[in-house]
Amino acid sequence: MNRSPSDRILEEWDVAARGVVQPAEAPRRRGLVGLAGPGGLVPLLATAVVVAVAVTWLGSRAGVDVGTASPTPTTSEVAVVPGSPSPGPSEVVVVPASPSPAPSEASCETDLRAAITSWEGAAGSRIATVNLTNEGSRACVVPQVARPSLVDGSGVGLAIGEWTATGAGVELAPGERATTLVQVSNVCPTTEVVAPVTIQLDFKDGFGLAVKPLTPTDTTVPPCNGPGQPASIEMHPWEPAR
Amino acid sequence: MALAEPAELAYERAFADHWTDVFRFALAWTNDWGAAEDLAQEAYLRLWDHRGRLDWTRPPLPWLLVTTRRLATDRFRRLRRAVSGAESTATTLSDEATRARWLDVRAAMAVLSPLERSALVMTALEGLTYDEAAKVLGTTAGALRAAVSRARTKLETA
Repeated sequence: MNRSPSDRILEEWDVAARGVVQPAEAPRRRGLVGLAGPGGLVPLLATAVVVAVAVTWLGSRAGVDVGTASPTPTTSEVAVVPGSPSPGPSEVVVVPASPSPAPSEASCETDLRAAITSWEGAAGSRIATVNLTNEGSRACVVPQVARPSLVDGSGVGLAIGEWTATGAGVELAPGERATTLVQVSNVCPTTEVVAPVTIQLDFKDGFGLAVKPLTPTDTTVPPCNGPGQPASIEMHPWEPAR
Repeated sequence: MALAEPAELAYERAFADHWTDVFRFALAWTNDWGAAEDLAQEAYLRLWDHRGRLDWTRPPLPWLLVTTRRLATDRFRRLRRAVSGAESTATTLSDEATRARWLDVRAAMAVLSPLERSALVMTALEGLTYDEAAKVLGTTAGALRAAVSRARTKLETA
């Protein structure tokens, strides 16, 4: 039986992809992050710090009257956090000495999820409502400077915005949301628009968020009001979602 | 010798069992061998970062594939490659026969969007159902079915 062209291409793709050589060793993060996990160096260092603090504290208690201030670590402290439901053991992490962990912009990359919740037409433009949710387990500060873009499903940039100050950093507790409006106008595609059309947010520290499109088949773009003129896309400051 | 922690053992097992699956998914999405290697590497580093918090009683492959897609949809990466206009540096494409075969099939698959390529590869080669593939790709089974149909049509008429 004759194979169809698509089956033949898929078979060739399969054969070619089998040519990949798997790395000899599993990737592991180097540095403090990689060392912080179970079995890493940080747990050993943490244990050493605990022992040192305990020895210092016991020593000070032995030499002074009861009732003097107990010593506290000055730069960092060691916290043992409960183990996850997974079979892994309790994890030891080094946390700042502040009363509660400070929100970290660095954590936003993996914790923030964005989604378009509506598109509205307005005088030659389209305006998207974008919700941003902290799906992580700790507070997170939304980066203050962002650049919005309108992109299609194949990654073509239909409108590239400017870097925009999006207000004083909005802090999101786990599960909390922020919202903004993104206005797009004069999009004149030169190639077929591939679904889904959505918004991309880039942040100054180098990471980007692909905003979940309103629908996976959306190819709607604002009207082309001025062929040859650049497209426009602007975003409003983030506001806490009610 | 000290025994490795359970999470580390699970991570090593996930690497042994699924690295090729992750690479193939990344290759389908990007159509770029070097970028697929980078994405697979980064996805496993994310898994390494999360190894202490994951429920290892559940299969890690869906987590890895969704993470890979999220990493791949970062427009920053795509624009960077679009500007360069060339295949990223591949570290394991040294065999000439494999390279030649890949360049041919890459050109053929270039007519498809990332969603169409991934949908086709996942359902036709990797054996995922439309529902399973749709979850990984962040879309609906209906949209995925349409993407596979479009992909077939494009490849038949290219």
